[in-house]
Amino acid sequence: MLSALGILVSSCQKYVDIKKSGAQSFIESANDCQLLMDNYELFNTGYPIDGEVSADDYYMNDARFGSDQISIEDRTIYTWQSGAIRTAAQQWVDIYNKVYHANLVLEALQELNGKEPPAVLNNLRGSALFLRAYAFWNLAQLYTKTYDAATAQSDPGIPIDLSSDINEVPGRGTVQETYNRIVQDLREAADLMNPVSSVASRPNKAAAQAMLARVYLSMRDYPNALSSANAALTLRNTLINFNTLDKGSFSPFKRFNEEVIFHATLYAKNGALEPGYGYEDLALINPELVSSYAANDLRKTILLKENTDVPVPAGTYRFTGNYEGAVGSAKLFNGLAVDELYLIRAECYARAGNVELAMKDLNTLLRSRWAEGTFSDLEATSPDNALSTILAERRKELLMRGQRWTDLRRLNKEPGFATNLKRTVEGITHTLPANDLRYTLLIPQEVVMKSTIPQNER
Amino acid sequence: MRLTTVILIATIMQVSAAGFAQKITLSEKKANLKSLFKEIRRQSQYNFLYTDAQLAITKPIDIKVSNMELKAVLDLIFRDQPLTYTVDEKTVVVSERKQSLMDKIGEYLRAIDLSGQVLNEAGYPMLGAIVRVAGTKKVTSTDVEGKFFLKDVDPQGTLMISYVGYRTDTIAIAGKTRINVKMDPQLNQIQEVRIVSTGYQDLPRERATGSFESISKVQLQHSTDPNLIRRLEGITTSMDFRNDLRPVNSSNPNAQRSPLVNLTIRGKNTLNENENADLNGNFSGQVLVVIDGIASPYSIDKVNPNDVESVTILKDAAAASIWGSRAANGVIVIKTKKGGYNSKLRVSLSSNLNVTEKIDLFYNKTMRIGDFVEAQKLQFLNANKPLPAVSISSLYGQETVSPVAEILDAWKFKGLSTEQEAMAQLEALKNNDIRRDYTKYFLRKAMTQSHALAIDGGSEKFNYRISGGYDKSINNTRNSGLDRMVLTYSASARPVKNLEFQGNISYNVQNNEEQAEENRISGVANSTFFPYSKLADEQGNPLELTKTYRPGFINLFESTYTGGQFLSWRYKPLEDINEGYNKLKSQNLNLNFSSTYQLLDGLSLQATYNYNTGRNEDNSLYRQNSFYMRNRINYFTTSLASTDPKTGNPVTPYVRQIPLGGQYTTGLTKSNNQTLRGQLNLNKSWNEKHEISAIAGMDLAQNYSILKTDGYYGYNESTLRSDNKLDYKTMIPIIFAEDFSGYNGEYIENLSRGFLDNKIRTFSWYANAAYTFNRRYTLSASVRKDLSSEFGRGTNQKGTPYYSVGGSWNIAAEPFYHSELFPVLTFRSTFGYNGNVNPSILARPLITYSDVNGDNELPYAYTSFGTGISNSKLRPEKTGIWNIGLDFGLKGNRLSGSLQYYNKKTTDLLANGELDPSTGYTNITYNTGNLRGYGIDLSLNSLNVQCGLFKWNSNVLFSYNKVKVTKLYAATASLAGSVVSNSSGSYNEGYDLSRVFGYKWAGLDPKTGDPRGYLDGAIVTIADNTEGNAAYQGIQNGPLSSVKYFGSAVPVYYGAIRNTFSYGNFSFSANLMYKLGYYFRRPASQMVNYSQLNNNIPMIQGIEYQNRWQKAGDELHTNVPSAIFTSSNQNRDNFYKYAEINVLKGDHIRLQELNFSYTITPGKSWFIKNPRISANVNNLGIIWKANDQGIDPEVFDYPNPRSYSFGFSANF
Repeated sequence: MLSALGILVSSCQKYVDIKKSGAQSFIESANDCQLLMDNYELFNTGYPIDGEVSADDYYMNDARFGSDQISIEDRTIYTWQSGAIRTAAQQWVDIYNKVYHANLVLEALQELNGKEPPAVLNNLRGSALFLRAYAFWNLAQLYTKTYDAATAQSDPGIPIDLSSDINEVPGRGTVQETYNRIVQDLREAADLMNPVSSVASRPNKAAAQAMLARVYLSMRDYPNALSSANAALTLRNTLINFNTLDKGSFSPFKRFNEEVIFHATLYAKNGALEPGYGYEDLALINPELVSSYAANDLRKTILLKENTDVPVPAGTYRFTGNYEGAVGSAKLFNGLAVDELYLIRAECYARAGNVELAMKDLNTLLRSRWAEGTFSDLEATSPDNALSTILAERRKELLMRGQRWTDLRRLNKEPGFATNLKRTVEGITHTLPANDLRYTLLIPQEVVMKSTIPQNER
Repeated sequence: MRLTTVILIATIMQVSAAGFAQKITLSEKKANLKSLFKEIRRQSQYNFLYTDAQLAITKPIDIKVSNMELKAVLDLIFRDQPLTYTVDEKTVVVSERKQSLMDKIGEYLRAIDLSGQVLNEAGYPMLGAIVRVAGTKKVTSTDVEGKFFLKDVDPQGTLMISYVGYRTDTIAIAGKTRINVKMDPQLNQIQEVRIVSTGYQDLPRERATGSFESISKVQLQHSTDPNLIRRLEGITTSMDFRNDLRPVNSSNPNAQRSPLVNLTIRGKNTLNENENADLNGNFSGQVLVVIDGIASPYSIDKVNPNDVESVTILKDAAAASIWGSRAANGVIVIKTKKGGYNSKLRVSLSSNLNVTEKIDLFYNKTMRIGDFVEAQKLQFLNANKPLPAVSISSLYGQETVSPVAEILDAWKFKGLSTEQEAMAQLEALKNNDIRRDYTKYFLRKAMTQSHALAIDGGSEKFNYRISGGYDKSINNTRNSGLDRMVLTYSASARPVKNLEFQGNISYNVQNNEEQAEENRISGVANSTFFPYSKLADEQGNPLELTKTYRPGFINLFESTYTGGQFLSWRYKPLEDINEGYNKLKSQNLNLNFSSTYQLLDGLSLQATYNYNTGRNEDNSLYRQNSFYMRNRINYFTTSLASTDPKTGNPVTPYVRQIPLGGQYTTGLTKSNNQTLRGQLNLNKSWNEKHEISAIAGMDLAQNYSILKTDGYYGYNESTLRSDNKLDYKTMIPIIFAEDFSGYNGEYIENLSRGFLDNKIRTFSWYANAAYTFNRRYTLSASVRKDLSSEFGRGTNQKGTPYYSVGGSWNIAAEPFYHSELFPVLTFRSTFGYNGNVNPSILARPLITYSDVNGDNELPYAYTSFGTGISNSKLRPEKTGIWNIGLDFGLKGNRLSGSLQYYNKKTTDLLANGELDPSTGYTNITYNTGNLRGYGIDLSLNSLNVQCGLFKWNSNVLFSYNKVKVTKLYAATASLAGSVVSNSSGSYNEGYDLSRVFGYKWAGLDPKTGDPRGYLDGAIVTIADNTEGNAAYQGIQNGPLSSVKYFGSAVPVYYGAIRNTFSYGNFSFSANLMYKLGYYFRRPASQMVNYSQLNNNIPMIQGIEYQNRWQKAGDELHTNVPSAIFTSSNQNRDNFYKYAEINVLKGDHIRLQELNFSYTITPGKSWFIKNPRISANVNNLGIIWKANDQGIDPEVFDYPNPRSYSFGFSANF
């Protein structure tokens, strides 16, 4: 009697143990993991924007600054106010949402060991590690101090959350721990992933190496940056010849163009960076930068357009070189592309004293950027001379690509390249001296309120 | 004694004998017994049972007693008579004096066994009716089938059958061995339904320990609303309908929302974020609806109220815990009408007509249209920014802007008109008012007619009921209507002894017709409709408005392409609403079959199977002539500006990539629900002192639904041809060189979206038992366990059983209890647990496969809020309820009622709570804390005046309810900014779950008219600048003590008062509803919100705009901040909105309905029986409110319009 009841109960448990819907599932297969990581909105968009808002590739004129398109928060961040802070957690929580999903995939893959081909699982694990590292690094550029081997052991980092369980939340740790995890994950990812992927929204070995190069550069670890850039360039080295592009177009680049190794964009909604629709006030490109392009440099017409519409002042320029492809989108591309790799490798060669290889890389890049037949190779007299030429070209090439803030932070550590930023708005001049505490942004108010993590110093 | 005829003299009170201690005073000479009996009855309330034949042989007597015991008086009266008496309860039964022992023996030898059945007026078995042989101790009660059995009965005796709420029936046995009795309800009875139903079993009210509330079909007649739920309003305690009066416009999707969504029983226990919130942003879990014993086989909105026999509301643990994990929010049990055995064929008919007035769009007093135009003008001139040039190749700046901006731009920047012309045009706008046009051309009076017909009857072995109902509604906007048809057949049969079959089949079909979604004129403020837009000219001819594109764009387009290559882009809203439709057709078939087999005496086995299948079609058509379709076809037609999206090369112009014709989409949902149940019922009584009724059973259920969405382009209604062979996979060049977002190509939307399904299975077992001793003490207990696929795979083992225990004590039945004031008094108390399943919360994340590809053109999967979280510490939510209750009745039934107190404790409340953002979420649904809810339910029924044919009854319903947060698990408490706006997940320990806070208000800045508040005790100005921003942020991040606490956001005291006046067959009643002890924030539509005034699509402001701060000194008499015409910054608006000055007391009393009815007394020969006509007026409006600003706290934008209904019903 009792055993009959036992059988009944267990068969009833089986009866209710069903999937709720054909459209829903637990993460139960390698395909599920792949599908989760193919969520473009999640993993390829929405990276934090406040670095770019704070940086000096662009400026706003007073009309734009004072218009109701620019939120008061944006104004305080744009002018580097000491108390500039975001109220909403958005830029923080978006990153941790990516981290959460990467962790979900990593945990699901553990369970799948032995159930699916190892090659498939390895590629997926590499992808998840890459996506997590990419997210951590982008956040670290805003809210931790610049990596400095001397102080990294004590500077507070960002929480390195390695489990999806919402009940486990680590503290800030140190900058060293933050970067250690990023580097470790990217190295493992580079070992695990396929060399290339079918679409640029998916990471691959080239992307992991390219990201390592970017990370090492931000840590000012030039030898490692060099070897990573080398490894990436052996996998991907195609440059777009700018002569083939439509010079009149406001969106000359297509999304997933042949230079893109990994496609990612910044958080879209920000008035300060809005390149604007035809007739509106908009983000204007730093005139110093505009004037630095040579006459035959096609980047001046491809990446920039002179404003001709009222009421935007004539003689100013807007940015039209977004690799995202859409006109007037503030979803700025900040992914990994071949041109950046040439610049990293050139810089590392120059820093290593190898002027010849440094200039070779730079010239390879520039030849694709100049009008057909007008470019003659640049030459450098010394490693320092090469380095300053390369850094100048780096600015012109990586305009509005989400890298300027990181470059400012690391170069400030070198007296020769340190910059004191200055902005004049409504008659008031705001300054941000090199290595100022404000180079580390305040953590959004909501994050500090809802957690126990300490705020950055001021 | 030969008792052949029994005459029942008077109404017999249904009260238990309260001893024998009445004192009688008499002083009569030569009085006959009949008059003495009358006098004694008057003094003692004791009834006398005798025949005229008996009295014929008596002699008159002299008697003079003063304050003598009744027994002594009776002894005195009967001393010298050939009669004797016995007292049974409160009835004195007169019999002839037995003369010899032999007579008695002979009588004993003639004793017989008697059986029978007791049925109510509708032919239903009555469980628990008391059957006794008058003057003896032979007594029994009826079982669940209404049957009784008595041994060794005097064949010449008299049977007395009693049941509370029914007239006691007295029947001469006259040698019969089987007697069937049909009871008549007592007129003007106070509690008509004495059987309560849990859905699994029916219990006599006396033996149920829990908190049940029963609504009879008679009570449901107070309203003619075709929706059953709405009919419960005003006649039930502890139910708060929280009908925020929002869904008034039938073309608003909310209009279709079931009233069940906002209903709470005894306040909130659980929160369910899936449903819409009320005005204060509160959510609640849904009440479980059980129809004929099966949990919600279909929507309660589909039930025809005319088919409902009774509704039982289960409130406490003892009542509801039998429904286990779904019971925490209360249960509504609906029993439908059935035929009765041994009843004559009866036809009943009813018909109603309901007319509802037009919505009053002018209820909200707004700023003058002229002021609105002026404000827009000021804003445009301040900004001094020209509108972009008209272009037809690139869409930048071609979206509709306000007509005011167009007029000013044409004059100021484009030089197309003079200042004088422009000003004249603006002046003309000031005379328009879209609300006027909307009322005149789009709204109409809603009308509903309902008809119902039913036939029922039965023989000894078979009964049946067939009913049909038909409702037809014309909704309150044009081209919108609804009809519903319900057909039901139910039958029961007893083919052999001990076996009964019951079957029920019901079919219902409902058709909704509406304007097609994109064609609706859904509001009076969007990019097409401005407050000064005109829908028609003076003659009523539809006028043109601009939709999507600016008028200059359309003109340029037409002058550029004159060859008819494109369809027109002109839009006339009043014509457009006819160019398509949205039709919902839902059909539902429910089959219910059950059989009961009597295994042993009192023990029966019951098997039930319910099958329910539904088919809902959601069909939308856009005709080619609709703006939507014309725009879509044009959009995908190549023009001279089009280029190939891949190469950028020009393409052949004037190629249509979407064929001409309409667009037809169809969504088909099929559902299939099955329930199988086996149940053992035990009903037994023995030794006249012990009664037990128990059930135990198991229940398997599966609910499955699948949605399939298809769509067709080039659709032709008359030929049914369509053309779907389109390229959905490549970017198609569009008419423009660049669309609004800068692309020159787009994908054609594939309207066929494939399938979406949902399957839930549950397995439950349950048991419930009640034992009653001596009809005084009852103990009950129940237990239930649920296994459900809703909990997620592999998590079922963790489920815990839900149980309840309870007891009741019939104090009035105690021998020591002698209260003349309260002859009815019962005390009850229960404790138990109810559960709540929130299927949207899982411990393990669930992913959903997208039905469209992402920007990378790959299929993908995503997690959803709630189901996508991994939370290793997720625990099931549990609600423990303690309930005590007292039922009482005053002498003479002048006043009766019940009083209940309950205390509920919800642990591990699953609700949206704040989370450390480093987890990837700022707030999610998890175990956020514990709640305590407590309250009182009181219902009182009184007979105030009874004077001849005139009668005045009152029913008073009163509920008190509070829900407090006793513990919060979240690491941090919510700060000022989140508690004032009640943002999701903000709770505070020790405060009400739903509560109102407001920022402390320091008046307006005397210099600027900016709002001011307090930051750290100092006055700060919330100006539109960085300092103001810092001040506002500081206030938002302030501690809880920095904001003013008002109190509950939901009514703490609420209920209804119904007064019924009747004179003969006329009856009139008025129902007042009240809600007290709560606060609300003034509706946003009445407050100024300057950032919305300055939007691209400006919103008209409340009338207080006219009272805004304009110059220094105004701050002394106004709190309305100064207008700013430049900024989209919402700090000032939000601070003002959430300031303490805008929180008002919500207390109010509403005259909800007036009813009039007249029952015609038919002649004996009439074919028609009890014809009744009724009239009803609803939503008469508020008659008292605590706030002095003229605001109805329950009105969001417009009040529910008044409605009138007329009805007729009769039986044949």
